[in-house]
Amino acid sequence: MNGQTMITAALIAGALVLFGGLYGVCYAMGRLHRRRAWLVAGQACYGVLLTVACALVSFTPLAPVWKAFIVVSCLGYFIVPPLTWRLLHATHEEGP
Amino acid sequence: MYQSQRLALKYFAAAIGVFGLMVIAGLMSATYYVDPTFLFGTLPFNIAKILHINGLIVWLLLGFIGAIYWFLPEELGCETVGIRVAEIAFYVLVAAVVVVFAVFIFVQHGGSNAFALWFINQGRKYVEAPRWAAIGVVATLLVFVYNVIGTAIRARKTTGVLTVLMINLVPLVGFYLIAFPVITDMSTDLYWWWWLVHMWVEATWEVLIGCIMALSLMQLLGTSRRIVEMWLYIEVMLVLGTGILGLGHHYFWIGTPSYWLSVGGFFSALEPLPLLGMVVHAVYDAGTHHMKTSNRPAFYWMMAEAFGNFVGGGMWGFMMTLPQINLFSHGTQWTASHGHFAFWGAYACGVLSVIYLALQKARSLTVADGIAWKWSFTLLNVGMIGMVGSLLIAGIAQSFYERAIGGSTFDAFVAAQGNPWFVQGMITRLGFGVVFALGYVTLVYDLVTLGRRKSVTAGAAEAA
Repeated sequence: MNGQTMITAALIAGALVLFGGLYGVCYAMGRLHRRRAWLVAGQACYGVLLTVACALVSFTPLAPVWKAFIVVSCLGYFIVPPLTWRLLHATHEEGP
Repeated sequence: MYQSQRLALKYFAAAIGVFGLMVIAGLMSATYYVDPTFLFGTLPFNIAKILHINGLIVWLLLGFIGAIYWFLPEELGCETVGIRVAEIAFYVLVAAVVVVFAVFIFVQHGGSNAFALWFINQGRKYVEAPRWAAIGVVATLLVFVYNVIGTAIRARKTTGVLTVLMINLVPLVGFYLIAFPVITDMSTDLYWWWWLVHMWVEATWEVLIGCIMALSLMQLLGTSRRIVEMWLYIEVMLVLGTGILGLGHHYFWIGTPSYWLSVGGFFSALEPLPLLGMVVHAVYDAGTHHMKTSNRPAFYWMMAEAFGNFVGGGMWGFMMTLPQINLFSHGTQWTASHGHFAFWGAYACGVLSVIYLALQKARSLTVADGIAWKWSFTLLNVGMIGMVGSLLIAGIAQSFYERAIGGSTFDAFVAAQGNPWFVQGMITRLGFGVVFALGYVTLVYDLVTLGRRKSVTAGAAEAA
């Protein structure tokens, strides 16, 4: 890995987490307000996350094991918001 | 109000005072980068840095201890056991902090001998306090443990949150003992030293702030104990699951076996996932309560904690945690950027939230609100985001020019310090540091006058 690919890989890695967070926020807002627009925005964010993951796998010289990890972690970013929401909904009596 | 809660208010006052010292030392540290002749021959950079990072640890610890003294008697329905000893311990601790900081400023350094170790500087980052003061810290923590466990025994009951807290107090004290051994082999020394630093920050402190936030949520939002305790258990499981072996990201380049590259990278990269769940939880709580609460500053600081932790700890951390990237980024201003953001998000925001919560009750305010907290909230967060953004740019420049192109030689280090990206990054950091300092001044003004200003009183009357 050289200087340029290091910066590229780091920024893309940051973007991956950022869009994971945006997806989580949009998903939660969509469920909270029962607005489809938020859910669609969330799906768009997750779409960007997948694109970012593809870029990380395709254009950076990260070791194969880390690329595999990033692919698997995309599933984690997808599952965590709905899983958390379901658990929240099931445990809070009042609900949103 | 319980005596324990009066003591908690003293702890909070001390915490905010040390927070101020930390801010001043931070501004000084930032100034050295812009003007290397600053205070030349009077106070060297390393002393300002020691004051800054030790001030950080101390003010957060004071805030944590204060929070527990605040909640403990309410949680168990009786006064804290050994409160007199606790008060003495508080004054001893504060006096020790003042003396240690004065020694750092006026004596600064000693020789490579036992006297310096015991009375001037222990010489290990984050735990530089001389040996006598380190013993004082242990004694204060033991008094704190006695207070918590003794009160539970007297009350003949415990709660889920308190049980987690009491179990957590053992490693909290235990890991600090690593500050004492003198190990001459640097790899071995760093190996154990990281147990102290990492296990405090990413394990025991995480659990501690989790307990404090759980107790806060019950008061602030009226969340039921059953829910709070269940989520605390989940948080403890996830944070410890990723955090303990996340220790490995400190073992990449200190002479430990290469398997730490895989272990550290893997568990560190998992750390954003539980924080993502925390963000979803924050949105849920905010939405359920329609952002309405009788204590908006406490609520907003709590929300800031969830988001700040995710961005500062999760996003900033993941950018530099994979070993191939970390090879270039570790120990640069990039790391400083991550450190600032993560500490701010994970701990500082939470402590400020609890302080507002306590003040509302201590001053019998129906509503804690006003304009000043909004200014301090905005200035502090804008200042922090500006600082970490500037440090990130400076750190990336350092990683690129010094490490990747220059090959980490001394000449490359010097060249990178003069690189325009680095220089401008450090100037911008100083500017946002001033914004942060203004936020601190506004915060102090708000905390001192909360409930005593006309607008707040009017707001409270209106709400009532």
